[in-house]
Amino acid sequence: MSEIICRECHSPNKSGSKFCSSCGASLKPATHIICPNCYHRNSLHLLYCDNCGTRLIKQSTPTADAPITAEPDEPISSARVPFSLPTRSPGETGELDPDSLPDWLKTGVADAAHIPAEEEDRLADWLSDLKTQDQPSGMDELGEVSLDWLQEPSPAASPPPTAAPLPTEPVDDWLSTDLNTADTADSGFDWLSAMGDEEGDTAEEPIMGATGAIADDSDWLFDDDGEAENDTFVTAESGRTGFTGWLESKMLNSADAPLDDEDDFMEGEDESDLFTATPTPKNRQDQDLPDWLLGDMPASPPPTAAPPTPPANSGFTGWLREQDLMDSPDEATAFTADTPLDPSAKTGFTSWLSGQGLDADDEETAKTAETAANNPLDDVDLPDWLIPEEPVDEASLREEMVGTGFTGWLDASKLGEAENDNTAETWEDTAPASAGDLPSWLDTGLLTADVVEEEEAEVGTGFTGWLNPTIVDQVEAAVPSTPTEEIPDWLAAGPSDDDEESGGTGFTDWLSNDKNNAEEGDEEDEEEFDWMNEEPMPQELMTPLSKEEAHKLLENTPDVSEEFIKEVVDGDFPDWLTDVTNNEDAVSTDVLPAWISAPLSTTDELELGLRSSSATPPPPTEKKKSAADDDWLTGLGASTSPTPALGGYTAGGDDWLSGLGTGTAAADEWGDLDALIEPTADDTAADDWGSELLALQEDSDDTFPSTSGDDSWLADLPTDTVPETAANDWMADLQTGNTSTGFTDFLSQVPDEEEDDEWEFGELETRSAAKFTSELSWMDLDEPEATAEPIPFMAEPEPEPEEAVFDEFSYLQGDEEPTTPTAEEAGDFDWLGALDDVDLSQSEKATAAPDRQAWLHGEDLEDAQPAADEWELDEALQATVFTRTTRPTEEPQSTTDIAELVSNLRQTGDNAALDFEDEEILSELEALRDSDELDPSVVDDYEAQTAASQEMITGEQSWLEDDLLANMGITDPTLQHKQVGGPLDGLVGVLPIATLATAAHNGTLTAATRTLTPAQEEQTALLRQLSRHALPTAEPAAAPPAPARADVVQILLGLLLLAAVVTGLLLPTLLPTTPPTAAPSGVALQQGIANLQDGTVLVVFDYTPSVSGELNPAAEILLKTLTQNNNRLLTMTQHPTGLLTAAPLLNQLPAEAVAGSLGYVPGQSLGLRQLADCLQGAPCATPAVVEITAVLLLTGDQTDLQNWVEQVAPSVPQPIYASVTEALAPMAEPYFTSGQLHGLWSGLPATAASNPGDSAVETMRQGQTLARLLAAAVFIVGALVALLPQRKGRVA
Amino acid sequence: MNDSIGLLIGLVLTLAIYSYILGDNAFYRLAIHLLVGMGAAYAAVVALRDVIFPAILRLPKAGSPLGMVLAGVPLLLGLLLLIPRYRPNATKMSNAGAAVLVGMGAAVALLGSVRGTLFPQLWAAGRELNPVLGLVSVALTICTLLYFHFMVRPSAEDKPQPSAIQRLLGDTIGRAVVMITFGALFAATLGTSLTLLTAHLSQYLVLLGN
Repeated sequence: MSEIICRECHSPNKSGSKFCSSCGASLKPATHIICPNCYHRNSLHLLYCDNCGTRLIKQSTPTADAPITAEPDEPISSARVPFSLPTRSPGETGELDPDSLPDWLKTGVADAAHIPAEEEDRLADWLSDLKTQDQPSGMDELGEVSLDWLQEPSPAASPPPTAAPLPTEPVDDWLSTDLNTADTADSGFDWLSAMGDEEGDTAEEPIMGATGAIADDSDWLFDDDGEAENDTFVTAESGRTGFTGWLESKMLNSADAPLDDEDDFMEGEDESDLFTATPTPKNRQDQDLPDWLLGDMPASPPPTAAPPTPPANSGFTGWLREQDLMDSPDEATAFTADTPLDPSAKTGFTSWLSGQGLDADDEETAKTAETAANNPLDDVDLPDWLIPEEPVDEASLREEMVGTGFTGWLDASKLGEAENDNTAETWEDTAPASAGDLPSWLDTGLLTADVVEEEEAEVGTGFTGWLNPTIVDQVEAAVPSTPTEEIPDWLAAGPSDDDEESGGTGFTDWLSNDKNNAEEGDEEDEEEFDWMNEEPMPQELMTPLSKEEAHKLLENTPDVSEEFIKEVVDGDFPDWLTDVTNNEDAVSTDVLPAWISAPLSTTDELELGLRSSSATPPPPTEKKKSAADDDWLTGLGASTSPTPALGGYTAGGDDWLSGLGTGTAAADEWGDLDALIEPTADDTAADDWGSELLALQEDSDDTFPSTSGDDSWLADLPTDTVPETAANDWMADLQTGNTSTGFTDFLSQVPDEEEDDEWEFGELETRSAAKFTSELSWMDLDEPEATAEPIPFMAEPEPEPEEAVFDEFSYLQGDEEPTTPTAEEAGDFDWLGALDDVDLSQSEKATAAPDRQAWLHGEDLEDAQPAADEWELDEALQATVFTRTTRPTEEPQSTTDIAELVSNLRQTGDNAALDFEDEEILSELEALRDSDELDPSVVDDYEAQTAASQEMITGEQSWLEDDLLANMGITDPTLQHKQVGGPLDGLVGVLPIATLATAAHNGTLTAATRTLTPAQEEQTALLRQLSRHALPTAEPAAAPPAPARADVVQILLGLLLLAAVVTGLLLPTLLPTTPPTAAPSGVALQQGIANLQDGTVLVVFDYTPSVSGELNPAAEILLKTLTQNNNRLLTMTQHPTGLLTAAPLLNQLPAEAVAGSLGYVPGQSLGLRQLADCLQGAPCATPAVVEITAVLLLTGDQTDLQNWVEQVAPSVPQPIYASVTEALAPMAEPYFTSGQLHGLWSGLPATAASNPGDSAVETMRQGQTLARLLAAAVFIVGALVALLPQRKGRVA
Repeated sequence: MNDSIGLLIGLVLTLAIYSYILGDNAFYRLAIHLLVGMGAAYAAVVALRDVIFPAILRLPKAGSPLGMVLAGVPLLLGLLLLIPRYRPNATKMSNAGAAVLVGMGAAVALLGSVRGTLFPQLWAAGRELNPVLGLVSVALTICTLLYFHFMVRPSAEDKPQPSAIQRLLGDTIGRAVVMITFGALFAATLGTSLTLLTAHLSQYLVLLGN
């Protein structure tokens, strides 16, 4: 199951995760890089901010600051231009298929048995590209140089530790491959051959011309004093110079690296033994070592009894050894026959140099010789300064991983250990090896797998070991009296004062400057290095050259190698070689290429292998000291001077390495490798690379004696003439040993600066030169102006197919063994030029080279690590590469393999890249057939992941840590939901709600049916009406009406009426009227009352005093009539005041007339009902009731009349006569009509009509006439007014 | 003399009541209050003297328990009507007396109306010899009834509107009959009033003439 590794906490996350489950960091690939300084958004491919120039990607190691490259159009640029590592863009994924990488790049462990042939072809191809560059002229000089010493012994499949001499026949070596076919005229410049050209005064000799060292100073390797002014490569601003400083800075910076990184870097024992596989001196002798080397070599040491150690396949040499071992069993056998693989034996160039007795100029070497009692190197004419000071315990070496690479060589203790392990004996035994005439430092590349395994414990070999500062110290101490003649000038030359001031130049200075410029700024430029006095580097810091480092190194070296070649053509022997002299007083860093001169370490602890994102700048004082004393490399080439014949390549002519970094992109790329790969790997790469260079040069030095006749090649070096000749010889030896191409090829492939753009790998082609250069700002090289001048012979390089680089090394895979040049061919053979043609025909094999190259350029890595710094990039690469160690190299052919591949890739590192790779891989797959089936394991994984995801969503309790919560004392179930992972990681009480929130819902509610009752409907209708009709607004109460005209009218009418009445009373004759005719009712009443005789008449006084004025006149008349007829009156009333009102009338009657009184009869109708009963004969309280013969009702009330009519009249036989008010007349008249009333008088008029002779009644009637007329007039007027049309708004 | 004082007092009170023609005034109110108060007091005294006390006095005279119970029931009912005045919670007890009073009065009134008014009037109308007047009387009676019927009067929009015939008979003829009746009543009342005024003025004039 693929995973995504969080770049923050490095915890694995499920594929597809957006955020880290551990820290919550976003796992998405970044689209921009935010500048930490100005927060500007920069593209992913940028290394520096476009806005402020701040470095966007964190530097993991100082080595990330690779050498600067000049403008493409400038051969060599002295300016410190910005440098950009062609790291992998964060957003890009590119090809990051570990399978496409050689195992030695993946793991750093070169297991020859595991290196596929295809990869070897690729390696050969890209290495062959290194040779495609134009070789400078002057290779004729190299024709005399024998390259035999470059030949390595044939590896053996299972080399037993034997002292048997190697086969005499030339061994196919990578250096010897196709050397014969090289065109010396047009081939690339062989700097080694140029080294031997002591004259160097011809324009055809780039070495001399370029550097001028040989031209002016024959011993360009020696003379360093006074030549600093000519060292245009001096990195004046560099404070820490020298290669050692560079290495030191890397290690210091890596000191803070995680242990994992260290472990990864030092993964496997093979890595620690990269440089331990060293052929014995005897074997070396069998390989036709140069005379100048063989002469001082000690006797062949006895074969070591130690069993063969695992091959030390790390490092360049080791890798080369593997390549030969792969396909050269014969060689291996031969090699093993003569090569006692003593683990402690010093091999490689260092050993070889030590065997040559490079004990020249340091008195301290004597001390070293004394302390190293068992040092086999004592017997060898090895320079004392190269003799290790202290014996090294093999176990400790293994433990501390010391002795590998260049750094390991620097470790004095390890060297001493190597001495104790009979390294010298091995050396002696193998010294005369002439089979391949290969130098011992190349022997490591010829070891078979088994042999290498035996040499696993070897330490202190190779160039790294040779450069062991302790050795240098020993040289200085033990060989104080060593004449400078014995030491090449370029080696004996120490840093000059100018160098000190300038901080040193050359390789070391360049490296140091790069680092300083990148991290420390200009203040570091004044610092100097003293790597010669460095303390032994811890073993654990010694990093072997891993394969990926080497791969990257070689891939990125074309430009560098071109510059390198330029330097050589110019006569600049590598400054780092000149540093070997370790002349504290005379070491000059000026000669070192600026791009090589790395910052020096202040603590002299080369912590190569460790990474540190925060490199601690060493104290300036320490640096200065180191710069002054320890830049031994820089002093070697300090004597160079520009050679006009070389087309004005005058700047830093002797700093042959400076050109690699200053004027080419290869240097940048080289530096990029440091940023891309693990810092430890970087260190290893640098060491290996440097070691290889030294080894090559060492071997070249080994050839000097053969031509000069002096066994001590070092002795020849100091002379003015020897170096060139020696170099020629040395180059000749190189040719004789042309079976090995390796580093020479690599050098030959280095393009010049003009070819940088053309010599691109993969995505590098897409980068513009300006852009590329702008990204190299960190280099900040301050190369002399002279370096800007191009090298003539490198002006027009021939672009080499990129595939040829890999094809170049195809022979190392055993497919094709390069032809070994004969001795004659090696004589005048331009070995470097020949390297250009090595296996070019095999270029077609490496079809995947561009991608690989692109990857190696680091762009893919950069993409794979979005928003990550170099540290992470390196880490990702480290993880990716090293975890793929055990993976078979076969390409995935099935779905299962792909799935596994993807899974492994994702587990190892960069997820973004892997994701993309997954897509690419899957896209490249063929369409599935019907018969194809997905691998069950993949299905299972997918199902498991799906189930897990579903479980997370559905809130299953698997993601809850109930136990943990319980331990925390959280017992509340609601609080036990502790979020595990994600941004809410650790929160308690997180409730899973996703399912409920996202689940679809079905509506199940149904509306209840309701039935409205009629009442409800009516209410609804009312409510509807209310809603339709607006509620009446409250109106203010009307003000009380003011006295209006109506009131006046009323008053007037009232007064008028009053006046009329009064007038009628006063003037009864005013209006003479005739009495009205009596109505029948009135007549009936008059007659009925008149007819009542001697009976009891119930006189009912049901009227109040209010109407007494009207009724009393009628009552008086009636009562008189009754009384006159002897009727007795029985009174009663239904009104309490009725009797009171009747009292004045009754008082006027005689007392016998009133028979009694019923009084007040309550109950209205009830009382009348009861009275009626009494009238009918019922028993009553008043017995007179029974005697009642008629009822005379005097009433002014309608009810009373009605009650009498209704309650009494119907049931009693007595006639009921009524005298009512005129108002009640309309009511009573119908009753008279109906017969219910037997007579009726209605008001005064009826009374008057019935009693025309009564004056009082007539007066009253006459008095009412005027009032009635008045009232009638008022009514008529009022009616007329009412009929008139009314005005609007006027209330009637 | 006493009559003259009484007539004078009565004249003043009459003028006070007559002052109402000028609006509500104290004289009017005073006269009214005197009338009401004196009428109520007089009524109370009359009730006690003529109703309650005779009833109470008759209880012992009832002779038999049944007669006493029967005589006592009206008193009891009359007392129950007084309970709510002092015990609001005893309203139901008072309602019994009121119910008997109202119920019996309504029943007697209804029966008396039917027997004393409706049928005699109907009978009286039918006895008219002039059929035209009888038909006119019946027609006017029907029209009057139609007018007082709610259906013929205009109502809200949602109510059914009366037909044109209904509106003619009820709203027009019946309404006119009612108005004429009321006019006649008003005139009778006015005549009564004038008679009363004249009677009072004649008394005062007699007083003054005397």
